[in-house]
Amino acid sequence: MTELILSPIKEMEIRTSRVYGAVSLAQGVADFDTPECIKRCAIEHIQAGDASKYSLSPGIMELREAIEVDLAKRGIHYDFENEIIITAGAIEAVTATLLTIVEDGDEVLIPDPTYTSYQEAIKNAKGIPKFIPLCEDKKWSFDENKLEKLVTKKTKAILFCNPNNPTGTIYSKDQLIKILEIAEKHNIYILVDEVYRDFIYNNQDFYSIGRFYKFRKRIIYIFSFSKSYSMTGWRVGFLATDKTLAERILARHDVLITCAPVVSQWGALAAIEMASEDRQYFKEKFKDRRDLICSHLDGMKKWFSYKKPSSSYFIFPKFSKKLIKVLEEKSENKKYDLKDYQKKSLSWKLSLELLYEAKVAVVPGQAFGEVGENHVRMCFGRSEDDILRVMVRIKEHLDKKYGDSKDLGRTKTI
Amino acid sequence: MKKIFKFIVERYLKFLTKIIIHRHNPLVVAVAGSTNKTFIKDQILAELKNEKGVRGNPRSFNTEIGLPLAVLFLPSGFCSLFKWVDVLLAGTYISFFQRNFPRILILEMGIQKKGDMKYLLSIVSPLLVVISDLSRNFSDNKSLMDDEMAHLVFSVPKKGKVILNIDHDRVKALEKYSKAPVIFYGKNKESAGKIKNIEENSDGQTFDLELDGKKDHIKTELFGLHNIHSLVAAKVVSAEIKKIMRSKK
Repeated sequence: MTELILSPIKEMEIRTSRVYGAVSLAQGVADFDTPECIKRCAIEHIQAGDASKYSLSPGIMELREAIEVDLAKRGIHYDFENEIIITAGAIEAVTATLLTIVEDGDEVLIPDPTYTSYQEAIKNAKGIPKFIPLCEDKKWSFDENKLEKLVTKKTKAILFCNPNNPTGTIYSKDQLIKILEIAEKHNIYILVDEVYRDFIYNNQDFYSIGRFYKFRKRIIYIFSFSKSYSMTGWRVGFLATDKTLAERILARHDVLITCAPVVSQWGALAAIEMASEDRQYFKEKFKDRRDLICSHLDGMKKWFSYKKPSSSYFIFPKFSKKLIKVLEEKSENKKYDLKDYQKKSLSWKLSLELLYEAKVAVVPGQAFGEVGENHVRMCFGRSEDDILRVMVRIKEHLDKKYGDSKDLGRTKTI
Repeated sequence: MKKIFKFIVERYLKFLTKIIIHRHNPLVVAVAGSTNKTFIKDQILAELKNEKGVRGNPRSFNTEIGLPLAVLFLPSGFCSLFKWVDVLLAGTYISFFQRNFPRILILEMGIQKKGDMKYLLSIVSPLLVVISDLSRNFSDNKSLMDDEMAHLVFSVPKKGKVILNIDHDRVKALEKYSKAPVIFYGKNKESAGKIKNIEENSDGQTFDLELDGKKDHIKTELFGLHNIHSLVAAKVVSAEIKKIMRSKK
């Protein structure tokens, strides 16, 4: 049986939960509560007895219909009766799809770096993840030549999120066209998770892959309500794809969870119908928080460089040469109970050192792929206070432990 | 406290709505069923864009509070007491003093529990009713939706029309409750609005519609049979509305 490892993001959260006074920017969770209108609607449906039974396996009709209408406003057309399935978050949509299309030994291409759980979801379907290295110098974009060279007869799918997690960057329309052309040429499915589509800053162009309707038979469009409506705990999302594939995925979805949690489905319906102002508010706050975290990183140029994210609520700072050097020379990791694959990684070393010594949690970049090594991911969806505390603690820790003596007077513990 | 306030708002809005309906006597068209209501309503409005004095529910206001708001063309006060006071004051003015009012109201009628339809029908009396879909969310044997829709169909007077999707068994079965003439639409040969030659490709769907002796070839970028049913439902309803309005002239 294929051995899976717990997502490093979740591992960091578990470790953090045991560290007194630790502040986390690790997991992608906003500090906002779910909007009132969503909670109220869910409560009403619980009280009316609408949430106590299974729904139909693809989900309640009202929600699927609302999704069809909402997607149509975005230029994406799917038939809610046959082509939209409500899932337990985006990861269940990814898992059910991979279990449907991937056979033993098939390869699935994923960007490097990308969301950590994709690798394990592929392995769970007995597939083999293959990494497409992204170019950090070109705003973390795909190199389509490298992508096509990675395609073999065993390649079954390309899986990515757009905007990308952890880099917060957007794949351009031209890039998507090139990916689609390669997919068409080699008969490959494309799974796209657009969980951060609602958090695009400074009017950056965002073109959804779902709008390329000519390729709809090979596209699996995935979305989760977790981020846009601060509903991470509700576990509800959806997938949309051509009906012949949707029918096959539905059978897997039924085996996995029967149906998405029904109370969450009613909550998701309320989100679409009533929570657009809340979503907009979240976006504005995240933009402010992005600027806040960037301003702190600007004060740590000695330790990190970064590409300012144009979407999502993650930033992915890169270690400076100096930081790499001092970590290689001075950092100890024996006391942190590292697994074998973590021992050679500086990003794991730094992340655990920061957790246990500075009491702040970030995610080691290696968790997102080899190209992610020598980076850490920070979530700026958390509160301004948390961001401030984490950034001051990181600066203080690095200056004190690895800095020159002149740095020491400028830090202040929070 | 909240429940009392909601009850007061509900009853006062009903009172205001009945007054304005009484004053202006518009032609009321009810769009009902489990899904597709908003799309059918929007399509009817699109078909009637050249007719004067036609209005539909803003957003999807279609319940015991939403329907009166739709008729009075007012926003919701949501959770704000102050906003609701504003809404009720505006509603009072509109109801008693506003002179201009639409001749035709296209109203979605949504139900959530037993008795909802009876309540909505105590506010408005539709002359035309269209029902496209009656699917269930849960695999139990309760037939709340069927019972409520039967009420709606039964409420249509003999001079009105009931427009039903013949391809949907549960919708078709509502025929027996109607005192008014029933017009069917769908793929079935018995339909007055006949759908033929459906084809699907990556651009969407195409189909032929035979209605009132005319044949149209229709193209849509939308997928799924339900969207074809909805487009046809809207065409059948708008054709009937035009006939009624012509006969009034």
